[in-house]
Amino acid sequence: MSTLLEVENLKTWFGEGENAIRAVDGIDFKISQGETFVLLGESGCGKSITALSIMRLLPPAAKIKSGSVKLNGKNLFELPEYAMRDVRGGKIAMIFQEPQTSLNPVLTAGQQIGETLQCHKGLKGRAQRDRTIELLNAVGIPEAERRIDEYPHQFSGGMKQRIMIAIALAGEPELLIADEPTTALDVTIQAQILQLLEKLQQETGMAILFITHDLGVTSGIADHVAVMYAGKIVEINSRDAFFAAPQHEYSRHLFSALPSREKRNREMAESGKENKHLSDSPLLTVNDLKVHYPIRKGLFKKVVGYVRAVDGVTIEIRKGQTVAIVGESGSGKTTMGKGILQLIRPTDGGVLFDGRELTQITGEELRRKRSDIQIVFQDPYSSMNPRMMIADIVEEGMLAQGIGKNRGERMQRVDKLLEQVGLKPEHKYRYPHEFSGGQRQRICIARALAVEPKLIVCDEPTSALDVSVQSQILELLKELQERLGLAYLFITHNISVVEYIAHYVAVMYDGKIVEQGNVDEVLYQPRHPYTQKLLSAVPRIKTAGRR
Amino acid sequence: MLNYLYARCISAIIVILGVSTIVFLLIHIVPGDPVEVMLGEAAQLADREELRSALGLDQPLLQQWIKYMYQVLHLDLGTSLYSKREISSILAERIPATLVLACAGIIIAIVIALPMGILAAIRRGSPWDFYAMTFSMLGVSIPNFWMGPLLIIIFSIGLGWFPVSGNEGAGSLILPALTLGTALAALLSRMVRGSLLEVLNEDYIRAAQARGLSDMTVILRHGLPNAALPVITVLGMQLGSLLAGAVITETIFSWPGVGQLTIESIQNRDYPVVQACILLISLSYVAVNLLTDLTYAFLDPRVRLGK
Amino acid sequence: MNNQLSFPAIVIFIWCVIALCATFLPLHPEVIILEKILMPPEWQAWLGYDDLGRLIADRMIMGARTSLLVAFCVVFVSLLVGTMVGILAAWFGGWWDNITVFVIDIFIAFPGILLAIALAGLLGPGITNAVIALSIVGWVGFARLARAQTLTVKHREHVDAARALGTGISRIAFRHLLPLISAPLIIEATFAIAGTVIAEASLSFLGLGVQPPEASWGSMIRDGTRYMLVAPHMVLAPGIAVFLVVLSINLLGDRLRDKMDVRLG
Repeated sequence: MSTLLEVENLKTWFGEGENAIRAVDGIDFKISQGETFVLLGESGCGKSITALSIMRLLPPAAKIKSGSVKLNGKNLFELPEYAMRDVRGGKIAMIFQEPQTSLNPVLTAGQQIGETLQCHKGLKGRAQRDRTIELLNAVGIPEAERRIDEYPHQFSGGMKQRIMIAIALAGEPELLIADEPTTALDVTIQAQILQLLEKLQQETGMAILFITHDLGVTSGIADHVAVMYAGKIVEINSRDAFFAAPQHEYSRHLFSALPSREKRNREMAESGKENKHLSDSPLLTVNDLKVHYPIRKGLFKKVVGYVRAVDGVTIEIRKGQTVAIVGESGSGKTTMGKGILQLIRPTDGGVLFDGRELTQITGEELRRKRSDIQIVFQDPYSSMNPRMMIADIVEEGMLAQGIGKNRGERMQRVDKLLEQVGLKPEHKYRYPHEFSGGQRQRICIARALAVEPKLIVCDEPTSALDVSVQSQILELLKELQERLGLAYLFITHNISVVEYIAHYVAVMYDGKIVEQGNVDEVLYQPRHPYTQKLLSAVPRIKTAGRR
Repeated sequence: MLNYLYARCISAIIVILGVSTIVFLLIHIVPGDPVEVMLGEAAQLADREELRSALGLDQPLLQQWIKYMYQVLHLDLGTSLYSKREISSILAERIPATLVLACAGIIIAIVIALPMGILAAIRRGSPWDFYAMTFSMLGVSIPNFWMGPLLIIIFSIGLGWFPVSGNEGAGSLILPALTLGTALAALLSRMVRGSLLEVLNEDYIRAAQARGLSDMTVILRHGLPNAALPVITVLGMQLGSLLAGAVITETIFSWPGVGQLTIESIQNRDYPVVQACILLISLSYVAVNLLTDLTYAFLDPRVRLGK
Repeated sequence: MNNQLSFPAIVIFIWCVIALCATFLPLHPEVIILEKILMPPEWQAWLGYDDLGRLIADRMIMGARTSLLVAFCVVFVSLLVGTMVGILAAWFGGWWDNITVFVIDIFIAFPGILLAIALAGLLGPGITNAVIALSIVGWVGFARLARAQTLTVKHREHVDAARALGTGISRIAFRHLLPLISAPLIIEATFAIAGTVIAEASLSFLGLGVQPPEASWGSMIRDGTRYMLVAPHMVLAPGIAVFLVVLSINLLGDRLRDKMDVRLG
């Protein structure tokens, strides 16, 4: 197969001279016609800037310092701007990570596809509309004749991404650049979009430059893989060769950071002990928990119905146990966590903790009781007050619960807690913005531990983190559980994290738990159709060696 | 859309009720006895009692309020203490002048602000941007009551182009309209620039560029319609300061509008007329805001088609 | 030093110093010299004399005092009341919030300073009444801003974390809410000072602010407009003063807005 796109010694920097941030620092790769080329890397490695450099759509602060991008042998960097416009959309099309914000809200789907058709194919009027409907059908949008005149807000996230793909197909490009196109989508939707891209590629013969951070996705679609790290490509290989034996140290590091069942079993075998804290009596019993939000309408805010965010959940957690709640966005899992903590008062049902019914107590008694259950959030940026020092953040709970006689005593405890989560005591005089995402999660864990809780609700604590950082945080959580006998209610959408960390799992859908049981049972012999669908959508790494 | 329309109109009616109530209460905040303030200390007891009962001030507050709302609803605003004429007919004489002035001001503002704001946003950081933003900064900082005299000194006294005051012919309209219009133009151009800059940063602008559309198409088709939405809302809100500015501008230029009437009546202690003027200006502002909100709803498919 | 900051900073500094020192300076703002009526600037009176033969320079300084006094009183009261009302409404929600929003909506339905003009007119002229009238109008903007900001901050995860730790409401308000909503409020307060300087001058211009023989920049412009043909200097001096002060505060507000990260991380 002949070469379609050739990138040579591309350097894209932010700023000038010594202080320049070398976002892309001399990379070379080739994409053949009709293949899927995956650019794999963690956040900030320069993969998106590479794509924008190819399109010549960089933000004003970024400059291409050197190199060339040749499409069919023609250097794109030498084209005048008007000729480049024919390339964009006509020869190279692009889809983005956020389908929610990538469509113009005041134009209909048909108008946005149509303008591309007019621009690159000169289609107008009837012909344009017919072709638009054809494209909508091709990307799998039902009732295309009707939905062509709908506005973006009337489509779901997955449908919006399909429209983006239809816009990209309109110019019949030779190369499609897909920049993390499924990252913002739920796993079942992700599977559909990936399938669609594969089908369209077979039909049109276009090449795809697929940018992702996900090894599982990569393994499913790639012909060739390039691993990017700190602005450089550290390894390029065919898919099979890459997954059979990654060459570069960083690539191997990515693999080793992946959580999985194998790893958990291996660790258990190594430590040679089953959870020593695990007891038989339940620590927390959630009984038919319901959280309903009233839908108010009209002038007097009359209640016209209820959003049943959590609709009758029953679950038990024992001391030292990790219970995972798995579900896609909107399934009610976060609301359930807040309902247990009494941050949102449940509409109905019971939350029995250590023999005390939490939904019945208020005021001072509830405030005291709060030390038993703590929470760690997903977003490491908004979960700490940016105006407070780490020392004050960790101390806050001790003040509230009256732990420690004076500031000195509490500061000693802060030092100890920081060490416990893998930070240094001198970190306590800094502010949150001075820390990385992973470090922030460690601080949040320290803050929770400060009041000596028995249960921590972990609400997607690793979802905003890169894979390599995620594995460190998961390890820390496991280690703390072993040492302190903590129980976790682990809320996540990531199945492999569940396999790695949980003892027991509940699958949540539409406010209800559709299936629960031990991890091995639920994940390997799923009974409920939704669980089956969810599990089959999870991208798995397929290697020549395994399976 | 219908639901939105309905809810927005209802809330406008509630606001109108609230505004009328506050205007009704205004006469009760006059320190001491309002009747005495209106007639002067030397007035006869009989005259006072007559005015008191004419204004209904001898009745319980709730009864007064009900009567006031009933009268307002029937466009019966009472009689002026000063000229002894029907207030509604006085207002009818004054409204056209204010309307003309306000419209001229808005047109001047839009003609200046739209091209300036758009140019400043597209050529961000260029000399154009700098001049436009300097103009807007100066315009925001020059108060009406100084801008007016300045224009008079330069154009009427210095150059002799326009009359100093009054309402005689088109020439006399230009200076007051400029006074009002530049202040609004300064605000509006900042808004247009800021709003367009924000929109140009959106993902869908980059997506539109990535499908090979020309810069012109991207700005006209994808940028401006989205930037216009917040500008419409703010324009509606800024019309309030335009109306309040009209009070001052009319006084400077002796423009025989509602604003001048307000100030004259305050000076004459003709409180029923003051109440009527405030009510009229506020209600027209409520109406303008309702109109801009409905326009917004019509232009934005997210509101038009409901959520 | 930041070169750009210096111009507005200098003007505001001079304004404040002059206003604060006005009482201690040997000024004669109310001494009438009949033979000097409407005289243009000269050696002893570098801004000339007004229609009663009073020194315009001395009256300008007294005017600075009036504008500073009114601006700070009004903004201080408005900021305090508005912030409190806004935070309480957003935090507790429910009926309390509905009522607050209702009251805010009605006050905002009065255009610009029209309500202040009406209030000042009916309360009777005078500086105290001007302050009262402007404060009654002024708190609304702060209440609306504080409410909106609190609503966004309220749902940040560190506030939930603090609640989960059992932290009391007053500590949450002072440690988690106020510090995070203070930046936009300070910026709004800066612009409100500029707005109040203009509003005070407007009221005085309409004869509803300070009363003669006391001086305000607005009332000086009002006096001047009657003699524009013969003595334009009477209008120019106070006008330039208002303009410079307002421009400087606006520039400072813009700088503050650029500097402070208004959008929370």
